Amino acid sequence: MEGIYAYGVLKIQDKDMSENEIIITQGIDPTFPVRIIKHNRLGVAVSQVPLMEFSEEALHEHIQNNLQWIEEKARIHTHIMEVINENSTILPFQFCTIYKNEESILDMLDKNYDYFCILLKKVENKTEWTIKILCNTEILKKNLYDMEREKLKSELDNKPRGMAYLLKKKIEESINQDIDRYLTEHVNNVYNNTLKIIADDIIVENTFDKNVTTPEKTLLKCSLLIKKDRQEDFIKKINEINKLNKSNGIAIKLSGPWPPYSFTKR
Amino acid sequence: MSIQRVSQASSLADILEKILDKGVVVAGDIKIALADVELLTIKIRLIICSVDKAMEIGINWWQYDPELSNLAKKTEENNKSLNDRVKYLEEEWDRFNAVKQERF
Repeated sequence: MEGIYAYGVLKIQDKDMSENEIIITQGIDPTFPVRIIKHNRLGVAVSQVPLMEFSEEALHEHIQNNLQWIEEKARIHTHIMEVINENSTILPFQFCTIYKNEESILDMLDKNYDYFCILLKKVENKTEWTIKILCNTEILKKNLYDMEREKLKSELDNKPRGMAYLLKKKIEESINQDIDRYLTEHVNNVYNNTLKIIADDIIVENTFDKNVTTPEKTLLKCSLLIKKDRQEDFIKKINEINKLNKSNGIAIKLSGPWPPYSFTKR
Repeated sequence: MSIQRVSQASSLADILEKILDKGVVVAGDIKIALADVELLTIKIRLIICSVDKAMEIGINWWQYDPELSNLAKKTEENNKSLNDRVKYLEEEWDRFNAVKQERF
């Protein structure tokens, strides 16, 4: 028994595309190719899968006891999405969305036709990027401390040792208070002056957790929707920011381009 | 600058975060049950997000679970190869002793 694994919806660019056109030779089960089921101007990328391996019970079993299966299939799933997304724009379905037959898929496509069209218009020729702004607060603290000390060098040199010690303590204290303000300003600056300008849409996933006690902090995590022709510009900008802040222990980590996974809500 | 593919470069956690939690939700005939999505998310989150926090309070079982940790996987492989070598040396030793006994 076989089911039909559905990857996502895309716009049919070429009107003459034949029904069931094969676009990738190996699907999530490598025995079957990825093909397109057409319905008017939309298509669903699908491939056959054995139900022995992809039934609800089997999936449950994999998650309980076979993370290796999950990893293998998750990587193939992601890879197929990427290949499709390079040539067109795909609205990705959730991992392991499976239908019993083609009628069932056509029915789903028909019911959601308008919704898919609106979403596709929004994400057309755009990709998703995820960024994390990370900070090693120990490095930053040390830098701020050294800077303050440099400023007060003459004063420190002229003070007796006890006084100098107290002054140093005072500098340390004020830096601990300033560090949050400094980081907030930095994140606001990157967000407002770079991310907001270059991205078409942004979803902020989390901002920084002051309670984390380790020196590595995630200051901001967000997903960005970026026009394909602005991607290189975007990467260049992020690299520039990273160069400027490297010595302060602040780094932006980039992952992408992803198909627009995060920008598919109504 | 060339743009690389992320499917190979990303961790399983990053990938699952995208393909499990996000994407268009349509009613498939077969789907991963919600409870299983949660279970998988917890399994993965435990590996990444709270590593530091969990380490602080002494929870570190996943480091020794070969399913979850590369380090543990490597350790397991190392153990296996060491065990094989010990077994081989023991056998050699027995053979050596057997020969020795015959000689005297």
